[in-house]
Amino acid sequence: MKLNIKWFSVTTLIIGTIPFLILFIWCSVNGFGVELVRIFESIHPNGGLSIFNNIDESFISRLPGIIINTAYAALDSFIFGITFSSLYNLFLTKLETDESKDE
Amino acid sequence: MNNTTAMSKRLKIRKIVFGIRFKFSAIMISAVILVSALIGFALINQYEQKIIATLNRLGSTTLKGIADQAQIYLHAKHILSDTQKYPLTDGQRDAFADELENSLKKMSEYFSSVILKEKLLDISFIIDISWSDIGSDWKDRDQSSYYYFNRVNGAFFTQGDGKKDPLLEPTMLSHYMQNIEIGTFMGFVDVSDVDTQFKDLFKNKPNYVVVGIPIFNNASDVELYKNYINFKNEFVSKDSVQNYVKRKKLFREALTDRIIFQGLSLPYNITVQTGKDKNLLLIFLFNKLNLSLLNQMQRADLRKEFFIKIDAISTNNIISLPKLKSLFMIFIRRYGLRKKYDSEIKFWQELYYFVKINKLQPYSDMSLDELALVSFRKDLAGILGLFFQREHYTTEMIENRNEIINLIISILIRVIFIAVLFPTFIIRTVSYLAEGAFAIGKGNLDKKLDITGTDELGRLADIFNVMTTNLKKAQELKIEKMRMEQELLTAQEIQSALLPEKLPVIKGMDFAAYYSSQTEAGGDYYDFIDLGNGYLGITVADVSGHGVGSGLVMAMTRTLLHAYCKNILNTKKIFEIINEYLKENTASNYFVTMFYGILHLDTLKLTYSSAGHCQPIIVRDGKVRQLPAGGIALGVMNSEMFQPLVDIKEIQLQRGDYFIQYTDGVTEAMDSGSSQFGLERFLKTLLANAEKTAKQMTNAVVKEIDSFTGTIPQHDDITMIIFRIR
Repeated sequence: MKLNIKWFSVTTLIIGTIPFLILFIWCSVNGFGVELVRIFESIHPNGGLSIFNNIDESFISRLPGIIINTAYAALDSFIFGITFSSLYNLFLTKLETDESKDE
Repeated sequence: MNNTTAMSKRLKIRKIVFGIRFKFSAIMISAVILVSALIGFALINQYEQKIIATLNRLGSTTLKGIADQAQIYLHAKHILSDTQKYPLTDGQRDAFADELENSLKKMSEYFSSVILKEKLLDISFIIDISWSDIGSDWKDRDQSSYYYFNRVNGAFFTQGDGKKDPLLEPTMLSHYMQNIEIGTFMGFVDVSDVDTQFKDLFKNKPNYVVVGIPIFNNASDVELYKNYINFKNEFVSKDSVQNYVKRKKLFREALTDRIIFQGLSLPYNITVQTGKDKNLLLIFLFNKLNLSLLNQMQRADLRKEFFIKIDAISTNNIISLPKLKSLFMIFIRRYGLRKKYDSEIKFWQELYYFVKINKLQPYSDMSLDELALVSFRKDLAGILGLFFQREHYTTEMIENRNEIINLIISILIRVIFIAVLFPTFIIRTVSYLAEGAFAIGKGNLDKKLDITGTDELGRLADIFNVMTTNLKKAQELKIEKMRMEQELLTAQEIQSALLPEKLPVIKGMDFAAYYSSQTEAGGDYYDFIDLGNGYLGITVADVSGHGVGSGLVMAMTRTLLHAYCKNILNTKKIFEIINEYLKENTASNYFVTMFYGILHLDTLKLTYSSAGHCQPIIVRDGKVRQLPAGGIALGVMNSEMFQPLVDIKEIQLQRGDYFIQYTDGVTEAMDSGSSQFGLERFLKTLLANAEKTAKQMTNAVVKEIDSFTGTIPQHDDITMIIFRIR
């Protein structure tokens, strides 16, 4: 059964975004998961809008960092969804073609 | 063959899909690259500005620290050097000496901390006058601090009291600029010409940020120094345009405050635009000359001369303050006034109050920043300058730049992914559409595109489906029409076969007939039937309506006639048989008007009956005569009612007679104005062709009808028979 690329991508987007959004907010409030967020930020350049740049200031001042990181999470999970479902469908088509030839 | 077609189809679809994908991706990637480049440049520029601000801030802090130590050094040195003015005990002298040493060390530490440890800047610093001694006073070292600084990271030049330091010679400067370690820079300044020196030194080096700060001669000028710092903090350090406007306004007051401290060499000016202002100046000067106000005003000659002088020394109502003082001195000498006014400081103090109280407008052609540097000339020991070379300094900036580049690359990679993969959503639908189009193009009109959605592609699919359905309907209609036409054609062929194939060939007579149906299958009928024994049956009939139905009734009528005519030589009896059959076997809306006559060829006697048909016509001796007809159409009434209405009539034909029978299609032919051809025009035409053969007469009538109706389509079947007895 082929995957619906659009809705599969939307699903991965939701799955990939919401937990990270919660993590970023939680981290910016009390530092939960700091190391994970640091790792995340180390591979997602944010042009200085890091959560940690303003860690001692108000929550509002850390919002840009949260938004940037969440946007990264959303974009990457969406791309993952498209890529995965496209490749899966491609290989599935090939498999079905081969099987029909054998028959 | 099929494989080739399928391959061609796949290639075409791939071409379409690739075209859309490529365009979409290209546009998206191009747009994002452009936007990213713009954002990147903006961010980098912003970072550069941030770095410059940071450099200025750090530079000022560093310089402040060095300058503070310099003050201490100078103060200690001043006290140590003037033993008469400052008699010191040994302990005090040692303390000052230590202070002197410590201040030097701290200065060095400042430099080393900034330059060496933090690698913040490449420097040169400029010291004037007495500060040049610092290096030579460095204890326990064989080299001056100049060498020390030169060795570590910079160069140190001095100039003072008119004594040219050889290091200041341009050749030496060039030498140092070429040989000092990479990453360092140097500079020098003669404070009287500081702005020019700065500009010359850095005019081709836009990557250097210059920070300068003044050093003062002795500790007594600390207040002045603070005044400068306050001024600089308040005005000079703010470089925005808005603040510049504010600074410009406030600077005038600050400038007025500072007039008192300036020497005559500074190009400060005041504007004197009106006579009132000139009078004010006159009052000021006369007050200085110790003349009473009354005397001043009465000395018209003096006032006049003063104004002449004022005009002479002013340019566009602008008077420089040094020139004003010169004028004052001229007056003193000329008039030998009693009290000399030779205290320069006092003069400027009073001028300051005068300008301030009378709100005159002092100004300078120099920029505020330049003034900030040079306006303290009189009290300066020197100006310390730091030059930040951005490329070397900006580790942070490079990191930030890398961060921005990483950000842009990171975004670009994702966008390229999206740009390449996202069209899949569209491509799938377009592929489906293309496949559908190919299937329909091959004639499969049952193909339906199952694309849901309200977007353009969804609407396109709906339109596609509607188009396919309509195409299919149109094709079905076309096939049905072709079938009908074919059937009608068949009916016409059958009907044509029912009409006599040949006209009778009888000696002494010539026959002609004309038949034209309005549609493929007509409802008219004519026939010449050889009844045997010298009898010839002649009939003309007209079935109600047109088309296939009428044609079928006509065929029935003909069959009945042919079935009975040879056995029954009674026209009325024949009509009764046909009437009965038609009445019982046809729909009520079908009936037949009919003429049927039996001509005895030997006696030329015509016996005939008419069933509601047109009256037959005889043309004889140049006259036209309509024969009686009457009767009622066949198939309308039952036999009992029909029989009384039909009778048998006889007429004796003669040689030279024309016998004409026709259907109402002849007389009811219409022109464009719906006028009928009419019986009268028909009879005239017959009469006009009375001497011609039956064929020629028939043709003449047809031609006349055609010319009458023109291009108007025939609206009824036309049938006409003519025979002539020669």
